[in-house]
Amino acid sequence: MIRGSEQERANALKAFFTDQQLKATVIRKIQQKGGSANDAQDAFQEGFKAFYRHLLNGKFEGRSSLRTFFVGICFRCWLDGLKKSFYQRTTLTDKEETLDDEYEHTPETRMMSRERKSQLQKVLALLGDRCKKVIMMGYEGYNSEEIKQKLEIEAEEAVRKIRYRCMTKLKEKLASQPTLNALLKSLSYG
Amino acid sequence: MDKATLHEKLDAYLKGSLDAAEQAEVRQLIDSDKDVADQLELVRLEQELAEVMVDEKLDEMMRAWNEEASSPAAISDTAPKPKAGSFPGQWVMWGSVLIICAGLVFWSWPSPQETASTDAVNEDPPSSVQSEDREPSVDAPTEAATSEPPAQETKKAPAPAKKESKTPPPVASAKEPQPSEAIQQLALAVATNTRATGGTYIIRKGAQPNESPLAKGYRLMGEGKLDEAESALLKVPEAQERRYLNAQQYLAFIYFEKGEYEKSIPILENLTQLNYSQQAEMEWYLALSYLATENPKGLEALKQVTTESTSPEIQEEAQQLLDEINALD
Repeated sequence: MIRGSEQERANALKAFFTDQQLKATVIRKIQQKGGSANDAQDAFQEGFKAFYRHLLNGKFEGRSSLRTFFVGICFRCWLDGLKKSFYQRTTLTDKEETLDDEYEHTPETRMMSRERKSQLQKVLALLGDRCKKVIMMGYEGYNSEEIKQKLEIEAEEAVRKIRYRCMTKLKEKLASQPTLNALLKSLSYG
Repeated sequence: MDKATLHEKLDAYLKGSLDAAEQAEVRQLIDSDKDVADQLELVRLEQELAEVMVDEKLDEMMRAWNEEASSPAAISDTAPKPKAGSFPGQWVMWGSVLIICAGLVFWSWPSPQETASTDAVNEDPPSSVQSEDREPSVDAPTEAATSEPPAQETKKAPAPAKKESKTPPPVASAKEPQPSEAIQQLALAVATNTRATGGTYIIRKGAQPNESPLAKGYRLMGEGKLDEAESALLKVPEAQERRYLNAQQYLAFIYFEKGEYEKSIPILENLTQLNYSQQAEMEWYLALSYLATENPKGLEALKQVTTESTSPEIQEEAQQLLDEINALD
């Protein structure tokens, strides 16, 4: 789990993202398995987002180095993309690619389908700014006290209530949009 | 339980952050109460929405970082510095190297007095700046200090661990430096500016519950507490093969950063043979460690890094060092 202020997190993430050696490792690893440079670049970016999500969800347990963890996630993203034929240009060197032993501690990376993402963006448009901020900060692991301070909410208890109310109101709004609601229910991950 | 609290609990349930008993309790609630099951779907939706927002935020950040990296003005600041510390970068380092080179030329120019006493100078034992001049840290072994010539004891070089100084250990005696000694000085100048533990980017504050020695060592290393990190990492049992290798790698980085090259060398030799992760960094640190300890394998290892390293940045740095060394001849 990443701790630290918003700025500290941004700095840490930037250091990781702009680490050219790390990027080169990911690209080399994927190219060795037959991926193209472009696919590897895409996998690096997708992997970076998945990496952050895993950190937020406490999936990094220190069982490998953070860099190994990261490379493994990117590699998984690439494999996942292959299965979904995101990367049409790729020619595999082996029939079926698997993770090397080195990356055995990398968690499964769930990729959201583009269609579902697009529907969720429509749902997001139904939420107010304050609701969005409370939800996002909660997801990013900030505690109620930190959210209270950042969003200038009076009491910690109010943070929990705001979050609940936002989602309840959203549910009501969705009920009045049956098409969107039905689409949401029909589209699952990947 | 009020609805806001239930909402929060369901969130924790989906994230798997409840303990086993609570997890089972919530599962039972979901199975027995349709309202709770509906609420769970709402929490799931909330998490997905958060995920989309975080992804969008990261997309934006990545775009900005890419733009920053591609803008000509930013290149010198943001170009990869695999091991450069936070301050003040390679200009000072290479400036220091140039000063040393100038110093070497100056010191090697014989004065009339020196010419007269050439025989005496030649009888001096070979210098071993690597030992006491490196001023090992408090817990480091001091057995290497015995062959130190008295002339050098009066003018101690700064310890490599002091990254702020950025000044390589000066050649202290007026006698003509041996070629290997001069090379060692150049290597130390680079090594002391190299932050091997700089790869621990993520900020982790405070101990986590049930923290393993490996996780503890990693965290402490990230916090810059190298001695404490070392103690924790030494506790990783050899039987835990994978973790042990991981701990060994961190230890090698710590020893390297502390200037305890004699300790980092055997670990790096072993791990590079195994083709472990961060191979390019390890090969580079190994070459520097060899050179810093006047190990005869040093030059060959450095040349190998210049031609075979998988990291272009490291290759470039190694080449710069090799050029400096060649210029000594």
